[in-house]
Amino acid sequence: MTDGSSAPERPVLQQLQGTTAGFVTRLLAYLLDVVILTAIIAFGGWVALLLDDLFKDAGFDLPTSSAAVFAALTVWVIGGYYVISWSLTGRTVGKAVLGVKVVMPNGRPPSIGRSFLRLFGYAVSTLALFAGYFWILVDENRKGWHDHIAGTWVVYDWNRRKKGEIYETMVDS
Amino acid sequence: MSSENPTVSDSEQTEPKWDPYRAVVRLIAGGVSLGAEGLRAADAAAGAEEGSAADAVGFSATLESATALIVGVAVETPDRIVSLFDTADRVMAPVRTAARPVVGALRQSFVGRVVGELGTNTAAEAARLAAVGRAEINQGRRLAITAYNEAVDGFIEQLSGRQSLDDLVSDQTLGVGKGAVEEVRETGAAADWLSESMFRRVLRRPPRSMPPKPSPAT
Repeated sequence: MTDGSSAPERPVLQQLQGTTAGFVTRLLAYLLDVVILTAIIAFGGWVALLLDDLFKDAGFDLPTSSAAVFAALTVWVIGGYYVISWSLTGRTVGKAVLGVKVVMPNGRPPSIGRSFLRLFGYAVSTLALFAGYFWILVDENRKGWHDHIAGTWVVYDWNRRKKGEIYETMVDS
Repeated sequence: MSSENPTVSDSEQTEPKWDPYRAVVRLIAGGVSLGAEGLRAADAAAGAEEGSAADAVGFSATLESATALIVGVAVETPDRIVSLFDTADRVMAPVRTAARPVVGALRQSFVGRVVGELGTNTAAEAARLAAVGRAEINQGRRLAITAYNEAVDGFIEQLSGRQSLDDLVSDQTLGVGKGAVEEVRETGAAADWLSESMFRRVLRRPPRSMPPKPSPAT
C-alpha cells in the first residue's frame, strides 16, 4: 500500500461518501437488523406466552390452533420492518448505525414496490445458501442478487447527520 | 392449577405446548369474559362490604376488561411479574453480548447498568404491590389499579429524574456518533476495501482507487 507500485491506497472516509458500500459493512448492518428483529419477535412471543399462562385456567379451550399463524405474523413483522424502512428512508436501523443507505440510481429511496422486490431478492439470495449476498464480493458494482433484482444500490451515507460537527460546535461554544 | 380444569386434556397436562394463536384469543376472550362476569361479581362483593355497592365505581365493560388484566397480573399471579423481568434480562443477555463489540464495552456496560437498575427497581416495586394485593384480596381490584398507577408513575418519575439517563440520551445523540459508531463505520469501510481487494486479486481484476457510484446504466 505504501510503495506506490501495487494497489492504490485506501480512500479516506469522507471520500467514500455516496459510493457503494462493501460486503463487511453490509454484513454488519444485516446482522444488527437480525438481532433487532429477533429481539422484537422473541419479546412478542414471550409476552403472548405470559398472557396465555394468565388465562390458562379461565376455561377457554378453543379447538382451532396453528403454528402457521405465528409463522405468518413473524413473516409480516420481518417484511414490514424492511419494506417500511427501505421505502421511507432507505435505511433500516442496522444500516443507519453502519451509515449506509439503499437508493435507486437517482439517489432516492426505493418505492414500496421496489422494496417488496428487494425483499423477494433477499429470499432468493438466502435460499441460494446466501450466495446472493456473497455476490457483493465479486460484483463489479458491489451489488448482491437482491440489488440486481430490485435495481437498487447501497451507498455510504455518513455526512447526512454530521453529528461530529454538531458535537464539536457545542463543545467549543 | 391446570389439573383442575376439565377442558384440558391429559396430553396437554403432561406436555404443555404453547400455542400463540390460542394465546392471543385467550387474551381477548379472557379479558372480556373476566371483566364482564367474574370481576363484576368480585366488585359487587367488595362494594357490598364497603356499603357503597358498585355505583361508586361505575366502570364500563371495557374498563373492566382492562382491569381484569391488571388484577390478573397484580393479584392472581404476582410471581410472574417478577419472573418477567428475570426472563427479559436473560433473553437480552445474548443480545447485549452480541452488541458489545459493536458499540463498545464501556458504553454497553453503562447502558446495561442503567436498564438493569430500572428493571430491578420496577420488579421490586411490582412484587411489593402485588404482595399488598394478595394480603387484601377482597379489595384486590382497587389495590391493583392503585398499584398499576403507582408503578407507572414511579417508573416515569424515575425515568425523568435520572441524571444518568439524561447523560445517556445526550450520549446517544452526540457522543456515539462521534465515537463508537464512527469507529465501527471506519473499521467496516476498511474491511470492505480489504476484502474486495483480496477478491479482485484472486479474480485477477485490476485494482481500483474508488468504489463505484450508483449509475442508471447498470
